[in-house]
Parts: sequence; structure tokens; C-alpha cells
Amino acid sequence: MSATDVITSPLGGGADTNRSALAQAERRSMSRNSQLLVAWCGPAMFVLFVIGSVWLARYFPPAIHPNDSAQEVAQYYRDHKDAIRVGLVFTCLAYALMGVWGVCMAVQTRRKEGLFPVLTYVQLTCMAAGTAQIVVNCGLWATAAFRPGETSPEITQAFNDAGFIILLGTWMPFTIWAIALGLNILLDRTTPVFPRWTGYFSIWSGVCFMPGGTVWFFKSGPFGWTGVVCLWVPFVVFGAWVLYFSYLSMQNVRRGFVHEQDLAAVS
Amino acid sequence: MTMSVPSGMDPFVDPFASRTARAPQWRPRGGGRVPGEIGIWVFIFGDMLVFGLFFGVFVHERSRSTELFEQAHETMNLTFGAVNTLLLLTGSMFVVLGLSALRGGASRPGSRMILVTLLCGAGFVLNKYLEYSDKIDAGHTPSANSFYMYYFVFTGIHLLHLLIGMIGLVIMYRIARKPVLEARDIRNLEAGACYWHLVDLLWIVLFALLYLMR
Repeated sequence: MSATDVITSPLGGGADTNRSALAQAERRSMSRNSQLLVAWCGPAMFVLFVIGSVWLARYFPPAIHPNDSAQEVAQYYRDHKDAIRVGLVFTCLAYALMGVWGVCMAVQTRRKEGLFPVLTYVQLTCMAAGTAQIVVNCGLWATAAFRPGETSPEITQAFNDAGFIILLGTWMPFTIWAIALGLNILLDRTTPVFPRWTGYFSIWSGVCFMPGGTVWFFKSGPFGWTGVVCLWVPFVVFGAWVLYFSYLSMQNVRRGFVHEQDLAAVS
Repeated sequence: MTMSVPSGMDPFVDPFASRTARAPQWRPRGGGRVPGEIGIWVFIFGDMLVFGLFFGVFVHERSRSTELFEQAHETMNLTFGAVNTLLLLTGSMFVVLGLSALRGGASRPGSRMILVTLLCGAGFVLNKYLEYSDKIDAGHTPSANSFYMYYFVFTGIHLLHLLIGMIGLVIMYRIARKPVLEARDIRNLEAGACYWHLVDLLWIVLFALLYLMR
């Protein structure tokens, strides 16, 4: 039995079917709104990140260089501890929203995978692991900003280092996530959820997160955490990736492509 | 809001499947044809953009400490670089020959030529391994000076691209051995070949910057 049958069937009419059609329409509207809500987490992440990391805490671009001495680092944290603490709240919120946004992508691609949504599960696992990592790095920076000047400068420096080393150096879950999303689009033999070229775009983005890994090895220049290769390439590409896929998801939802289960529910 | 579903539609069939007009194939103006598909070119130009940035960084840093780069350049072994260039160019030639054989329906020679390309890639990896160990034995580690830092990072990232390309070649080999090739197979073969040429092209610029520029 199909959806139109339920709504317009001249034989089975009656209150029951009308009620079920109404319930279905409501469910679909809820699904639509919740999907739009999670899709908007992409742009929201961007705004919160700009407020927290760019404006207040100055982790992007980093005010502290990897080859600054322990005294300089401790001094910076002591002078700016309030701005850093407040900025980290916003930054951490932005990073936590990444977990919500990741669900948006997974929901979009899930419906095409049938009973064994392998690539969607890969996306979810890696997205959750990545979110956990970058939320933890905010915690480490907050630890550095907790007693600056009270503890020895080396401790402040070590926590500051650890934050950057986790933020940029642990690109692996992010790369696997982006590749899984890209493969989800490319392996689709019918009409993919997103335009086919975005599958390649997503895989390219995953590859572009890799240079972040150089942060573990270099203390200055383009491969240090202030460098153009280590910091700017992954961050700019990640931003473009998030914003563009948010836009595509909103477009999908607005066009009425909600969830397949809405159709299955009426049969 | 409600979505109108055509009567008699199987609820387990994805609604997207019936809407082929949603993602129209992009076609360039003038009746031309994009090798592979448009997406692979997004990837290729994106990668070229990032490598272009790498090359710019290298040339900029080189101009800031020309003497150090000149000195370090003296310790480079041109043979390793030249052999690798030759291997990649040969590989690219065979992938072109293989593809034209496959387009003509010659599955066996076509797949063999892809195998030759794969061997060239493996040769590149082996040669790179020998070169890296040679450099590290001589004390030229990534932390020795900025020339070797760039050398190891850029050739390392390039090597990663080459390994991805080799995975692509293995997939291409499997496609090529199919008795009948569909349009989709040809598209995937072309996309893989274009990517392999990108690996080749990036290496040629790296070769010029690291081994030849003085």
C-alpha cells in the first residue's frame, strides 16, 4: 500500500486512515525540522569558533608560537586568562556541535545504504572520536589557563603544547570520516544524495587534513602549528567542507527529501 | 508539508532513484568531453592548488636562505630523482596505452599495461625507500636543516599520493579484467588514469625544485 492510497483511497476512507495520514504528515514535518536544525549546526559551529578561537582566546591564528619559551607562554596565559577561559567555552561548544552536525551527514547518506549502512557507521564512529579529541584539547588549554603563574611555566607550556598536538596532530578520524562520506556518494550507483563531484571534494578534503600531522615534528615554519601548511590548509578546507555540505543538506531537506522511513511507515 | 508520492510506488525503493533529473551530469560547453568525470577534476585541481602552495612556500623559504639551500642541494643525488622521473613517465605512458587498448575492447593487453604501470609505481616506492635510507644514513634527517625538512615532508606527502594512486591502479586492473566494460567502467578507468597523471605531474615539479633548481 502506498502513501497516496492511504490519503485518497475512496474505499478505505474513514477516520482511521485520515488520522494516520495526519500523523504521518506531522512526523515528516518533525523529521524535516530536526534535520534542518542539525544542518544549521554547521554554520553555527563556524560562528562559535570565530567568537571563541579567533576573537577571544586567539587560538586561531595562534597567538603562541611553537618555539616560544615556557616563560613567554606562561606570561601570555597569565595576561589573557579570562579571555582564554571564556573563549574556550565558545570554542568547546563549537567543537561539540561538530558531533551534531556529523549526525546530519550520516542521516543524509544513511537512506541509500539499505540494511548494512557500513559507511554511515564509519562516519559516525570517526566523527564521534574526532569530536571527543578536539573537545579534550579545549580541556587541556583550559587546564593551562587554570593556574597560569601559580604553577611552573613548563607545566603551562606542556598543556598548551598538548592542546595543539591533539587539535592538529590527530587528523586520522577526520580523514577517515571525510573519505567515508565521499565513498558513500561515489559508490552510489543510482542518483546520489549529494552531487557526485562532492564525493571527490569530500575525499580531497580528507587528504587535506593530513598536513596537520606535521605539528608533531616541527617547532617552526610552515609545518609548525602556526604554519600555512600545518594549520591553514586543514582548517580552511575543513571549514569549506562543513559549510558546503551543510548547504547541500539544507537544500535536500527543503526540496522534500526527508527520510525513507516516513514512506515505509505508512505501508 | 507533505510530499506527493506516486501511487503504487514501493516504499522500500528510494525516492531519489526516480528523480534522475536532480543531479544532471555536468557537461562543458561546446560539446567537449571531460575525461573521467567532473568530480575527479575537482580533486585534481584541488590537489594542484595545495601543492602549488607547497611549491610557493619552498621557493619563498629558499629565497630567504639561499646559501643553506645551495649547500644542501649539493648533497642531493640526481640519479635517484632521475630514475624516479623516468619510472613515473614510463608508467604514465603505459596507462595511456592501456586505456586506449581497453577502449578498443582489448581486455588482456589493456590490463597488462595497467600492471606495468603498477610495477613502475612499485619501483618508485622501492627507489624512494633506498633514497630515504641513503639520506638518513648520511645524517640528512628532516631536522638537520630546512632544505631536508621540506624534502622529507613534500616527497612524503607525494609518496602518499602515489600510494593512493597505486590502490587506484589495483582497482583499475580489476575493472580491466572484466569481459565487457560498461560506460561506468570506462569512466572509472579514465578517472584513475587522470589521477595517476597528477601524481606524475606533481613529481616533475618536485624533481625540478629539489634536484635541479640552483
